[in-house]
Amino acid sequence: MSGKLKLALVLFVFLYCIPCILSAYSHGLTLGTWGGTPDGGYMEPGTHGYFGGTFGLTRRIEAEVFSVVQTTPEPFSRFYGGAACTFSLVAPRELPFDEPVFYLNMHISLGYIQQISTSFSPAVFARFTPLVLAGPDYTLRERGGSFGIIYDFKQENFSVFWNFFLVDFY
Amino acid sequence: MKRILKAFLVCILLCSAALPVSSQSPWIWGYSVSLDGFSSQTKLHPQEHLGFHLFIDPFGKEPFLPDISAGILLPTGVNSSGHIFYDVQIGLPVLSLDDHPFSGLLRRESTLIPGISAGVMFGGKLQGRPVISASLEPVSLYFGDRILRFLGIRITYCIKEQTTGWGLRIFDLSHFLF
Repeated sequence: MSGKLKLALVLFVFLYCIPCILSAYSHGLTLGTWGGTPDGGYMEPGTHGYFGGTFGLTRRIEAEVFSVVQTTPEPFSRFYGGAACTFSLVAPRELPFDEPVFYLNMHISLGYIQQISTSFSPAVFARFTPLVLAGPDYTLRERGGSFGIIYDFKQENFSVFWNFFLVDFY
Repeated sequence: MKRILKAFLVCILLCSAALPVSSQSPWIWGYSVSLDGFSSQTKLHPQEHLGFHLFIDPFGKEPFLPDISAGILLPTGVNSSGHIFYDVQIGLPVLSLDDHPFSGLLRRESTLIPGISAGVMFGGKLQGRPVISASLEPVSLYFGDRILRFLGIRITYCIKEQTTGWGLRIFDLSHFLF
């Protein structure tokens, strides 16, 4: 097992598995996409898969640990890892004692991402998700049309990125 | 190229002619949104391609009954209309499974209908060198009024240059309207 893979595994255990056990709120696994502008963007042009996990910190705030992998045109040629903190704008994501939560929501996230495959390329981002359907109480949550800006510390520039969809399984 | 187009037009006409006699499904027409990527061998733009298609499904989602879709694919964030091209496909479900491994992950009842499809891409950057394609859609979930497909694999072949390539359809959301 390569050193980078070991590091990713250790980070996943410390940043996701242990907090999930300690957190009183629900946790889930996430699948989705990541895209960005082709010219001067943070990532190389292509399609990217998004895999991660979320866990609740409070009624409205959740943490997210994720990895992004390039799928085309060169599959698995670049890996990225990151973490984000998300705030539910419209309603709480989860309430105690099985109280029902509002079905529709909006999210705003702040996060950090860096390339872990070929070069150290750290960046911070802010993301807005205008459409969030369902939540932990509904087994599944769909996040659609997310977009945001990302600041690349290496290239010292801002660029736009988006997640067409993110699906959370609880 | 003209022969291929003629063949697809004939298929569309045949399916349209079958509409009045089709009573298996209340849903026949719809639109789909997809996200595609292609390998460097296809010589298409490396950026992800957003697809918008119209489809006709006159026979319902039973195995080996075809549907036809036609639409455009455009690379996201690319400020040039020269990279937009057309995509016409005939799809064929090969199985219909009510009990499938994904049912526990989903809120609504669904049927897994893995399928295959064949098609042609032309126009835009592919002007003068049309590409035929064959696709495998292993994860295709039918919810009655919509279909969700994930990770479809597409093999492409350029007739003029005799080169092969591949593509990946990350997702496809098809929604019936009529």
